[in-house]
Formats: sequence, C-alpha cells, structure tokens
Amino acid sequence: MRVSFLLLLLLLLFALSPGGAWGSQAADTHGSLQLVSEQQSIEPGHEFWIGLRFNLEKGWHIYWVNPGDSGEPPKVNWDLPAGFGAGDLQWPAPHRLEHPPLTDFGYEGEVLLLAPVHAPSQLLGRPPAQLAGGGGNATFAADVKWLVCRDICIPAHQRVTLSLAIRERAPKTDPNWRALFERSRSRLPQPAPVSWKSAVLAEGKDFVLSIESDASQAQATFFPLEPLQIENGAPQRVSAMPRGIRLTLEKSDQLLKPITNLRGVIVLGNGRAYVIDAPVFQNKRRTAS
Amino acid sequence: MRQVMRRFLSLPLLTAILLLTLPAARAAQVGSPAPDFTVTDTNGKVHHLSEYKGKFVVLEWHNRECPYTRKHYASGNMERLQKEWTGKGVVWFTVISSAPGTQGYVTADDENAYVAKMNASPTAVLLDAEGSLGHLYGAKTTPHMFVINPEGVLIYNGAIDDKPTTEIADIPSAKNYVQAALEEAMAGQPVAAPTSRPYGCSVKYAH
Repeated sequence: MRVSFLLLLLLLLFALSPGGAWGSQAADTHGSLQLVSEQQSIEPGHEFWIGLRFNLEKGWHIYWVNPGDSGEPPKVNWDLPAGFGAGDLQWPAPHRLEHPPLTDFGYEGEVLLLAPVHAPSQLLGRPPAQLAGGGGNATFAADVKWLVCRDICIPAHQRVTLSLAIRERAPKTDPNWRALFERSRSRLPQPAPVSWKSAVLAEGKDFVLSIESDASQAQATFFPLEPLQIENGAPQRVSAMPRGIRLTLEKSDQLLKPITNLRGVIVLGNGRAYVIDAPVFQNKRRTAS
Repeated sequence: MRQVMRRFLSLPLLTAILLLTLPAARAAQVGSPAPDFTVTDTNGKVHHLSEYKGKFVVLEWHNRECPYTRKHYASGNMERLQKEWTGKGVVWFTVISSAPGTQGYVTADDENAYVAKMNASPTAVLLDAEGSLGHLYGAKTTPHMFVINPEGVLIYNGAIDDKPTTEIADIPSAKNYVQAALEEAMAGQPVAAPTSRPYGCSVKYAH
C-alpha cells in the first residue's frame, strides 16, 4: 500500500517535471540541441549571431534546407523579446549522405545553423519588464522541430532558450563557441563573385553546368536548392576548365518540363561554397556531347 | 560555350522530332507507359500490372513504423483515400519494400492483421522485400505515390500532399496530389501537378 502510493507520487513528479513525460524534450533525439550565441552580451543597436547547435550521436544525421531524396529540414519558430528581429536561418554547405539508391543532403556530428539577430537601439532605457528575463538580460527562445535519422527516422521537438546580458559596450566573443561560429560561417554559401559566369546546357538526360571563374578548378560538388531538377544520387562528372569548372548533372526523372534556371550551391575543392543560379539553354544538336 | 548554346534554327525538323521521341532511358517516367510488374500479395495472389488495363491503378509505398506513414494512417487520411477511390473502381496497391530485418518489414499474416485493425481498404498489399518493384519505379520514400491511368500510362509520381511534415494537424490544409490527379484524370483533364518531391522516410531497401 505504502509502496504503491510512493510509486504514484514518483510517477506524478516525473510527469510534471520538465524533461519528464510532459516536458518539451523528446525521449531520445540521438543528440543534443542548444541555442548558443557568438557574443557574451548584447550591445543595443547592433547585430549579432546566434545559432542552433546540434551535436549528433555517431551514425545519426539531420537535413539541409533541401533534404534530397528523403527527410525534412529543421524548422524554427523564434520567440524573441520585443524589438529584436532574427534573420533567415543560414545553412552551412551540407554533405552528401548516400544510402543507395537514395541520396540525402545533411549533416552529421556537430552542426550550427546560424541566424543574425538585430538588437534594437533603445534597450537600456526601457523598463525591465519589457525585456523578457527582466533586469539587464534578454531571453531568446526557439521552438525547433527536426527529424533525426540513421536507418530509421525520429521526429523531435524542443524549446531551447538563451539569456544574454545587455551592456552598453562592445561585446566579447564567447570562447566556448568562437571556433564553431567561425568554422560554420566559413561553410556558408556566399554569393558567386560577379566576375563568374555560369550557364547550363540541357543535353538529353543531362544538365552541363559550366562556371567560368578566375582560376581552374578540379573539384566540386553541386547541391540543388530546388527539388526535382537533378537526380540527387547520380554521380557528378567534373572536368576542370582553364578558367573554371564544368559539371555534368543528371536530370531528375521527375522533371517533365524545361527549366529556365538551375539553382544550387557549389562546394569547391577548398571547401568554399557559392550560390549558383544559372540560366539553362536547350541544346537541340544531337551530336553535342 | 556560347556557340554551342546558340540556337540552330537550320537544324532539320526531323532530328528534333527524333530527339523528342527517343524512348525514355529510365523507368516510371510520367507520360510514359508504367513498367509492368509481377508481384505477390499478402494473400498469395500474383498480380501483373498488365491485368489492370482499363482501370486506374494507385501504388502507395508503405512502412507502418515510419512517422510520415503513421501521420497518414493514424489520422485515417490514407484509409479514407483508399476507401473513396477503390469505391470508384480504382485498383489500389499498398507496396512494402522494406528488406527483412529493416523497419517496416512484415510477414503476410502480420500485414493482413494490420490492414484489418486499421480498417484500411487497399485492393491488395504487395510484398516486395527484395525491392525489385521499388527499384523499377524508383520509389524513394514512405509514402511515395504513383498513379497509372486506364491506358497504362504513369500520370502521377510524387508525394501524397504538399505538407512535408510528420504532423497530423497539417493534413486538413494540405493539397492532396493523389486526390487531385485522380479527380482530374477521371474528368478527362490533364493532371495539373504530375510530379512533386516525394517526402518521408527512405524506403528501407536491402543493401
């Protein structure tokens, strides 16, 4: 009798505790999620970077903004103090996750999805009640839904929060996250340099993407930003050009109409990533290769 | 580069026509004849696609443990579609391509019990544990949906709807592509959205 009462009490406590049965953290997401900031404090009127840091168990992965053949990218709903605004989530260049016959695009291990946040210029003068978290702090929250997969997939949902002090001086970089932010930012796709010329020739079952740049490139991987343009899993034939690079990409077998532009991210051999939006020309010559 | 891209207006029309009519190198292309198959269902009956000329055929790739499949079964959405369209003479095949030892692999008896429990009404559940039907059609996800018209031509290849999530709450506001394709085709109209990115878990093929 006494034992069962204790058990009931324990069960109730468990159910009501954060992280328990009714908490926001899913049972097993095969990794952890944190909301982190590059800076240790907020300077009014300035922009700073925050990020969703996923640290995944070995063998598990999450997805890029275009997940490829299966899967789903993480989604975030920001809950920011009044006056703060978050920009779009920034996605570091992904990796090809190959499990034949399917190919997905995503991340393994540690990954940071970044977002710029703008702090309003009037902050310190406000009554503390307007700053969530009170006092000289601002509290940020993110409701994140994501899919984590290995051979099987698990939908996850978690609310993560971060509290930062507001200081009327230049903030210090958080030493815990400096390297992670730098590394992740270096993998963010940049706009292609204006001197580059890219164009696509549609030839039979292929798209031949040519990028004229300032130097010969020997290695590149193309990640489509639009679904149903190219076959995600097809090998990409790469050939160096005296100035630039050429990639032969197989058309998606679900592509029924000619497209006007091929959009994607190209990752070069040096790890730099660029956004490509190339006009597509139809080649009607049969002999062209 | 530029020269190659210039339009060759002098090109004989014949060549252009030849190019347009080259047979599709890959299987299961919308607008082309759907590849024929021979597969056994959970009751031991053998089905050939060619037997169903004159009827619409739907192929639904399935893995009951996949959260995306669960969304459409736990909500009753898939069962409702099956009931409505088999009621209108459509042949509906649920296809299971999970390899033995992978998620979603089932025995015939187990699957029959599941169909009864869910009150699902596919025409038959096809067991494709070696994945040959899946590879033939290029099935990528669960669910992944295909619609074949009475002439045997593939008219839809893609997702079940336009809300690629695991959440049941998204179903009422989603545009169901299979519903739309069947309605349009039965009304003698072209299918407005004949392809879409299928969404879901990967099909658990043998490696």
